[in-house]
Order: sequence, then C-alpha cells, then structure tokens
Amino acid sequence: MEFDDSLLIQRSGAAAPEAEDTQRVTLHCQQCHTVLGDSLGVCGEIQCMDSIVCIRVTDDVVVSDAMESAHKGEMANCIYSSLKCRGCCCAVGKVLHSAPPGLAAVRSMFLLYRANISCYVLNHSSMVKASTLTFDMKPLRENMKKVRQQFEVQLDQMSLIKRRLVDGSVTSELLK
Amino acid sequence: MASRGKSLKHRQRFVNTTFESSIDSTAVEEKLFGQAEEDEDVDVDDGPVVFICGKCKLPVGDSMSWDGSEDGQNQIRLKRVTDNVVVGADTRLHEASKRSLCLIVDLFCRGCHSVLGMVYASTPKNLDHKRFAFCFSVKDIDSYVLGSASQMLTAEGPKEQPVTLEYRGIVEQQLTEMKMLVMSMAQRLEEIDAGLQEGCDVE
Repeated sequence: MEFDDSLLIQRSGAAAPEAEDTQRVTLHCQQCHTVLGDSLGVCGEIQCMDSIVCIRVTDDVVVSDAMESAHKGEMANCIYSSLKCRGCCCAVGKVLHSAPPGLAAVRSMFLLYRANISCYVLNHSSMVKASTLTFDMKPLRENMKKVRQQFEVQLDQMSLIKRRLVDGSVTSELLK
Repeated sequence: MASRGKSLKHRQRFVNTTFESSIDSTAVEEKLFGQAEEDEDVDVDDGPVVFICGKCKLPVGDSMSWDGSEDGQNQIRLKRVTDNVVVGADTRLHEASKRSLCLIVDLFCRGCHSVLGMVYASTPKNLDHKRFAFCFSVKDIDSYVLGSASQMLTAEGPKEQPVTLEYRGIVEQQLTEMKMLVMSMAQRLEEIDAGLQEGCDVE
C-alpha cells in the first residue's frame, strides 16, 4: 500500500508480478518468516521434488548432521540430510550428498521445499507462496541466436555497401 | 545509511531510465557508454534491500520504494509498504525536535503488533518532506541485502558452478545491450548508404 496525497491506497497492479520481476525475491520460512535466501542464489527448480534449487542460502538454513537414505519415491537411492530453519526448527528442504545420475546435478545444492517457503517480491511489496512462482530457467540459446542473426544481417549490409563503393570507384575511373 | 540512500536513489533512476524501447541511435549510445562511465563512480553498489520486522521477520517493504533517511533520528522512509504494516487509527502529538510539533499515526506489524514507526499526518514546514511517507525506526526493523546469503556446500570448489538467476540476469542485460548496439549500427549503415547514393547522383 502507499499514499496518494493523503489517501492510503492499495497499489494497483501489484497482484500479478510479471515474469521478469520474479527475478528479485527473497525466500522466507513459511512459518516464522526468517530470511533463508534470495533469488540471486537460485539456480532453478526441480519439479519432481517440488523444490527450489539454491547454491547460496543464509546461515539460518541449518544442515542436519544426520544422513538419511531413501529406497523409494523421487529420492530413491539418494543419501541426503534435511534442512531446518534456525528460527523455528521447521523442515525447509533437503540437500543431497549422493545421488543416481538423474539427480546428480543437484548434489550439494540446497533444495528448498516449495510448500514451506514464502516469497517476498521486491517492488511489488507483496508476499506470495513459493508454489505460485516459477524459477524455471529457459535456455539463453534462443536469445543469443537472435542477436547473432541481427549481427549477420548488418554484416551483409556492410558487404553490400562496400561492393557498391568499389563498383562506384571503378566506373568513375572508366569515365575519366 | 546516508551513502546507502544515495546509491539506492541512483539505482532507482537506473531502473527507470535504462533501455526503453526507443531506437534513437544517439540515445542508445549515450545509454550504453554513459552508463559505463557512471558505473565507475559508484563501484560499491550493494544489492537491493528488503526491510523486515525486527521481531517477527515479516517483510515490511524494500529499497525499490526508498524515500530517504534521517541519520539523526535513525529513521528510514519508504513510499510503499506491504500489507504486513498496519496503520494505526489514532493520531497523537509528537515532538520531532524542539519547537516542531507534529501529528503522527503509529505503524504496527501485522504479525507481532510491535510498533515499527510512524506516518506524519500533520507537520510544520521544515518536515513537509516526511508527510505521508512510511517512516520506520531503524531499531525496530531488520534488513536483508539481496545477494548477502553466503552459505554454500560446494565441496568441488568454484571451478564448476551452476548458472544462478543473478548470472543469468547479467547475461540477459548484456544481450539486450548488444541488440541496442546492432540497432545503432543499422542506423549508421543506413546513413552511409544514403550518403553514398547521394554522392553517386551528384556525379
């Protein structure tokens, strides 16, 4: 909310953060609101575990010493520790120490369980559940390809002009 | 806090003016190269800050809506706050400094009901800039700087690091800048082309 002159108003348009704005969020423990991390440390999400993948989190995320292993489900054949919130000791996610090939990429990363995380979206002054935000990263390749194509078009254009310059000087030589 | 206020203001201007979709080549170059120069001046630019209730940690606002700070009174001012901030119903007298009496409304946290700050409803001339902004007392709130989380578990070392949203953002920004550069190149080429044509016609 904000003041419009002296009237307190709910900010319009604050309800639906646009995709690009979701880049700046802080991640909080759903229960006690302790800050656990922010979007700058997010690497993506892992849908089968309904978790956000973070490479960096705050010191308020406590890694349990106990190592567990699962024999069935998504975490079959994984060795992991659970993550707890320092503020309220509530379970907020897991970290995999050993994993089969399918989950190998997210070893040693903090996997924050979506259902237990709430997010604060900067510039929108609003809190949302982590389950409503997507941290899925689309490959940059498409974007890069487009820029490359644009450059190539300009290169063609340049060659064309250069050719015309050469032709021009040849004809003027002949005219003399 | 004062220097932070300055850099925040600076950033806000950045956000607002950088790269709108106009394709005026001089403007593009000004933005691309002008920005580089400006960047050197403000090298210690922290990430944006989220302000949270000092007691129950509920977010109350962030530095994107920064309005200013008063070092003497340990106050920061935000233009916009979250619904976690409750504006009190009663106005009361407050002596901001000698001989400047104001009418203020208290701000509470929705989560733990602790007082977080105030809104100036009626002010003498010298305090007009504070009117109808959300003033938080620094002692009652906490802050979290984006990017300050530092706990990592990479046993393998920094050789092999996955792409974060932060890194991705930087790459995307560079791509956008490159696109602007191509557009400005295209315009220059068009001008050269037109110039050549004219030269031919004269001959």
